[in-house]
Amino acid sequence: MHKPDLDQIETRAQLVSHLLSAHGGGIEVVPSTREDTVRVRFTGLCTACQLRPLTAAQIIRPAFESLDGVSGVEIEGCRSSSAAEKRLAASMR
Amino acid sequence: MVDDTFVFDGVVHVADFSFENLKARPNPEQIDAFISAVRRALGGVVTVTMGDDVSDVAKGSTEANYDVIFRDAPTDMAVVGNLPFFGREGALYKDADWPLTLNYRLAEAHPERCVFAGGAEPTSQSMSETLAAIERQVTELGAKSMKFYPFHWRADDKELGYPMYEKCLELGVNIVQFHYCQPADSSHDVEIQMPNYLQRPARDFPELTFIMHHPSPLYFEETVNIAARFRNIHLLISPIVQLWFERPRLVQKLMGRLLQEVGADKLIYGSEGALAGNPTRYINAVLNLDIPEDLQDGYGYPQITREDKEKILGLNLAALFGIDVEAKKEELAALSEHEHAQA
Repeated sequence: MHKPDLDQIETRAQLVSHLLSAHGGGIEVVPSTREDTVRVRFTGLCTACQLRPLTAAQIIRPAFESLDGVSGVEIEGCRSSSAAEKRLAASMR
Repeated sequence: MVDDTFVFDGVVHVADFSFENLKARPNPEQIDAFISAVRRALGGVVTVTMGDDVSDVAKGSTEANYDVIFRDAPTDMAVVGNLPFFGREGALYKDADWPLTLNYRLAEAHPERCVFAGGAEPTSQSMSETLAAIERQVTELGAKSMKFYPFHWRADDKELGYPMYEKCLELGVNIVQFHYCQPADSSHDVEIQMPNYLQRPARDFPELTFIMHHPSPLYFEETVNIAARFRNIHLLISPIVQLWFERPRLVQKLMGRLLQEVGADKLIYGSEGALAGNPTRYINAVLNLDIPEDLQDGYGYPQITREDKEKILGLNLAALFGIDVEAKKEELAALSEHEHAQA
């Protein structure tokens, strides 16, 4: 597997942030301890929003997981159970 | 250390429960009131009582407290904190600085394991005295953090709170700690213990890291929201971890929610020290914690991982205090060998 391209990750983060700016929020990339994992945190109005898991499942994970070398996405301060993530994923099919 | 997991306890206090150093011998009602106040101040987990003949731990003995926390439990390091409201307000002790002295003694005797946290109470002395007390604890006693107990003032009070935070920054102390969600007694209203009052200081002092002690069912929703929004607010999870033995289901719910919305990176373990008994059981409570499937399914709470537990038990606090964990592990291993050889 290739190493993720940091410029691509940053560009993708800007795109996601542009989308989320419609709700007054955004994301920023923060350092990850795993090379194949993108770690981001929510900013603005998204920071403590109850709908963060939905935004993560619908927008953030797909945006980064489609990049070469990225096998996981972590979101600082926002983590759901695998049962909840499966339900969310199923609801989007 | 447990299975290579570094344990850095975020809250240890030493206190004197004997009559020896009190100004006056208390009556039974006063004893009850004192124990009750201490219990609430320390998150509800005090196991000792007051009397003529109390244990060495309850007398505040440096070595007895050290033994329980570090020799009889796998604690590697601890923040040892002054209890500023006992000394001056009500002037319980002949020496108003007695609580400070006891806690400083432990930190001074074991600097390789202890980080000293000072404390000041702005309502029981003038502001110039309060600031002088902070300065003395930092410059003379080496306090790396200051802790406050806002039972009779608000953390966002620009006359009582802000000068203390400015003083901390001026002295190079960038970690301040607050007792919240755990009211003391009927001398104040419950809402003074709302964590809401941390928001303005956290916004106005972005250089400071705020550690909020005692997230509990009281104002829990506010706590979660505030800790999720403010990067410089971290949560010390006493008394949640201490509730494990009585209310494990509640602990799973509270911890599940914190992991879900605040994140393991901002949670800090704390035992309250030997006054709450041997901390091994609380360390094990964190190590053995799991989030049951029905809570994962019904609330979406994530399972707690080994990595989460390592962060909570020590890595998060080590990062805040700039401790190189691997170097510290080596240093403490050598120290333990030395202690064993001497024993």
